[in-house]
Amino acid sequence: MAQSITPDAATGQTVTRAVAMAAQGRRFSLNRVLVVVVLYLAAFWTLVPMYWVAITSVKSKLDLAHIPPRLFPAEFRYDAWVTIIDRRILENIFNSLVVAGIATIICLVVAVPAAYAATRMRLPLKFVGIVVGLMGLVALLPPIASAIPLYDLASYLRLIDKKYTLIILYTVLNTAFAVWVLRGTFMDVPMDVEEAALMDGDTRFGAVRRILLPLIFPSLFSIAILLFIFNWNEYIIALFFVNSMDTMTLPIAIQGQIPQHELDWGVVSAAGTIAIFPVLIAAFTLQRFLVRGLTFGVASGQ
Amino acid sequence: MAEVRIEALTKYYGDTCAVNSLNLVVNDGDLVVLLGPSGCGKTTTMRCVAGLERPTYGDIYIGETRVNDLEPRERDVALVFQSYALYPHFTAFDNIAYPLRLRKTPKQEIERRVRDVAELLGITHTLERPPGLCSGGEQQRIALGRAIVREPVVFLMDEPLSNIDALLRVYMRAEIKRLQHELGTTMIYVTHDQVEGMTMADQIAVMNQGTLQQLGTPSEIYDLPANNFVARFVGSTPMNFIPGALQTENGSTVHKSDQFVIPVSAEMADRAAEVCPGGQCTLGIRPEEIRFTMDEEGANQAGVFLLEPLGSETILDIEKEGLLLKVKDVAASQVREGDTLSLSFNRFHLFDDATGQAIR
Repeated sequence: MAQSITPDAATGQTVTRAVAMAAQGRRFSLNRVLVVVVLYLAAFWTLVPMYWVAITSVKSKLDLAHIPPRLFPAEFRYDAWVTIIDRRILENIFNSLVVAGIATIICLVVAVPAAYAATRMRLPLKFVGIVVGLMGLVALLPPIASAIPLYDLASYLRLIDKKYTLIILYTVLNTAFAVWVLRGTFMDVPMDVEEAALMDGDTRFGAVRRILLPLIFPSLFSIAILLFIFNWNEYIIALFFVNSMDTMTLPIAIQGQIPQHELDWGVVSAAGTIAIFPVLIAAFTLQRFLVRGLTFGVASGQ
Repeated sequence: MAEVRIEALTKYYGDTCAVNSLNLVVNDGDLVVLLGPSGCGKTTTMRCVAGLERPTYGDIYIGETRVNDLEPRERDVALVFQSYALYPHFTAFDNIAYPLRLRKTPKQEIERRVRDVAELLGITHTLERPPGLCSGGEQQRIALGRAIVREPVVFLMDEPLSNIDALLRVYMRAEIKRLQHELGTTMIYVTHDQVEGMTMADQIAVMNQGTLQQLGTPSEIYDLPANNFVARFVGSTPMNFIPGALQTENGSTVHKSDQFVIPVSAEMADRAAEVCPGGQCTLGIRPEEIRFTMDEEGANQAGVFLLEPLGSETILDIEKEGLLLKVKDVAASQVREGDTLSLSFNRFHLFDDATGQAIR
């Protein structure tokens, strides 16, 4: 476990890098300018549509129809927001939160032991290979491929239009992905540390709870966020399995704002803004975790 | 405090045999070093004692208890890992306190015992730091502290000194030996470094390819190696080997090689005739047992082609017809490169070429 023993080396590197950067800062560097320009372009590319959705939701009908389109509205109108709240969008948000939240938690509860077993137990290699391979397959399968047979099954079991049906399906569909990612994370934690805990008198479960999970917490957290966002955004499965206001999740509700005639862009945009909001919050507040968590498995020896 | 008894221990990983019917008794309070090259099964043996591996066959006893089916936590054995395996998210204090906390030791007692151990090891100043901010030597001692603090019946050490620099290693190996003497706890120490083995052990168990080659005190291992593997592996300047055969010349037996003719004592010749009737055997001699004079007459002549001064002594590299010998000499050697020496061979060993076993 050389990684934890070389803080001096790490600081050494940081110092060299800082010196290099300082030297670069003094001189004009085309590379640096290019990098910054590309980064700004990428940020622009991703952020402008979000801005557009948000600003559209507070535009008046006049501004919406204005040509050329106005980047900033002449007057702010909150009609669209009033309309979607009248249309009980808060209930949809609540549904989405419940479904996405519970599905994420169950998924992790299942995936953590599964990933642990796949990396730490001496199972026959072939068995692990097959199971992990199948899981990868499930994770890569487009959801629409399983939606129709699942619908058949659910209607036979009278499970259509229930919140817990969505929770079950989201759990099942995401577990494979979660196991895959967690497996990589677990493999990066040296066995030694857990074995030390066993030698110190801990049980296997205790070693996992007190040593392994705290060590991989950043990864665990980023996986949870990713799963939550997957569930929050999920559309296809929900489209099949939801048909009443009691169960309708946000993506379906947004689509429901689109009538057959005379599309009200303001209303659709307001709903869209609500859908983007938690994702944005997650991305900004957790970006430190996300970067650390997802690269945890990439660089060995950190 | 307990003795450790390993009976016919065999461990397979798939089709690979890591340890092959090993028998070993570690007496209560002894420090036994498992010595061997990497892949010889020494770490596997230790992990079986620790309970991290299950033996394929054979039994392990700690005291009077057969521990084969016990979990590590039920064995009361402490293990210091090569990587130290400290908990990076705990402070040094919490690392050392961890085994005590698991045993529901009262808070004041934890505090007291951790401080005592830290003082014993000289790491009191690191206690509030996470191990990542401690030096290699400090981390090593935190790992030792974690093992010592709960007063186990057996210590297991898996190459604990291989990750620290040479100077500190010399210091730490004396330190570990002192601690073991003070605590009087049985210790099994795994290393591939024969100097560590020689300096620390009460008994050395030399292993190769999963089998025990020889068990003995350091001086037995050094002076009376059981076979050519042990002879080759132990000794910081390795033993010299001269392939040849025993022959009778003028009524007395000699070891005759392409380069030298070395007289063999009568008892050794008798013994060799019994176990190795063909007479094909290799002569092994330690560098300090080769004597020389600088006259250019005498039976066994050879030329010096290189001097290796070590400060306290000088190693002479001697070459004759493709055979290299290393000879120890005093520091301020009179010998120069290119000199011709007349050699005499003092105490040597004979190894049967067919079996590799020592003839004695």
